[in-house]
Amino acid sequence: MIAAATLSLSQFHDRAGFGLDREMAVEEEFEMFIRSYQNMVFSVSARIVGNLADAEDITQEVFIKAYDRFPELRKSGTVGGWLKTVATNLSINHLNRYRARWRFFSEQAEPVEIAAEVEPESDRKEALELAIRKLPDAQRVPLVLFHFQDMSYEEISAKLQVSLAKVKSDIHRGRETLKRLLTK
Amino acid sequence: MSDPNHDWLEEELESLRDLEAPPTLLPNVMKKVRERAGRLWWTRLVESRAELLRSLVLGVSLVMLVLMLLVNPAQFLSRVPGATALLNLIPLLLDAAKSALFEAKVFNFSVLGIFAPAIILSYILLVAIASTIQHLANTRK
Repeated sequence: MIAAATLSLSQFHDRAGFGLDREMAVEEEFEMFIRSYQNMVFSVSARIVGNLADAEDITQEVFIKAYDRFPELRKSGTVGGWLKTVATNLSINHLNRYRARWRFFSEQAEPVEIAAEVEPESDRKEALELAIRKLPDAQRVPLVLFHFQDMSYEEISAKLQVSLAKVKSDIHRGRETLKRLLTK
Repeated sequence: MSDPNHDWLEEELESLRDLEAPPTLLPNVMKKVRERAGRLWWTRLVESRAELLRSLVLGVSLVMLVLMLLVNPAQFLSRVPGATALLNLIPLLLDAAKSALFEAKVFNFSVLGIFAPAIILSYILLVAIASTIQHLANTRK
């Protein structure tokens, strides 16, 4: 029968079991996987680290980690959540690593206020994205976790290892800075 | 009743969509993935489980240290022909190094007194240079 003789791509590869064909099929599947999630992962990283070049590096790292666990992830129903968590953790680690090294020599406890104004953008959403990236780390990170990752104040406090009061005040200050930047 | 804290900014933040990933991302990831696929299985394992392996090596080293203290491997080594001479040589070399560091003088300063600050200062200098370079590279991005 035609129906019985027709195999889906994955069934074909499963039955054939030939290394090279199978590897190519996995690669193609992984490429599709990246296409589906790359914008989401990149957005998470870019908004947390506030730097597009670093966000690209972090996104690459996230997908390489995902490739190592691809056999499990392709079957998982929570792959989006897994990718978001890994991207968030790697981005925060990146900021901590950089900050810890630099603070020893130069950085003072008080973050530098935004000196540059948001450039006049045609698109208001682009202006908002740019304003988020220009926020000081201490304000941007909790604000992004709260608004884009739907984390509670308590969860943010635990993740960033700062007090609950500081999380609330940093998010408040972040919002105020954003409003100031956008209404200039 | 509407939330008084839900202002225009909140609405704009909620309306933001995902950013567009750079077009170089996909080819770069696939290139790295192909490189990884071409490597030996154990090198991939070492890379993906680096933290675990580091802890494992530390654990094994501690066990070895405890075993060495309990068993004293020198007693087995002393039965090997020629090993006794080597065992006698090691304390001599250590004594010579100790004397050079603590007793030898250069311009009335001990060698240790000159070397220790020099090593510490050069380490601090290296860390400062590395941090400055990283800071400058990051602000340029």
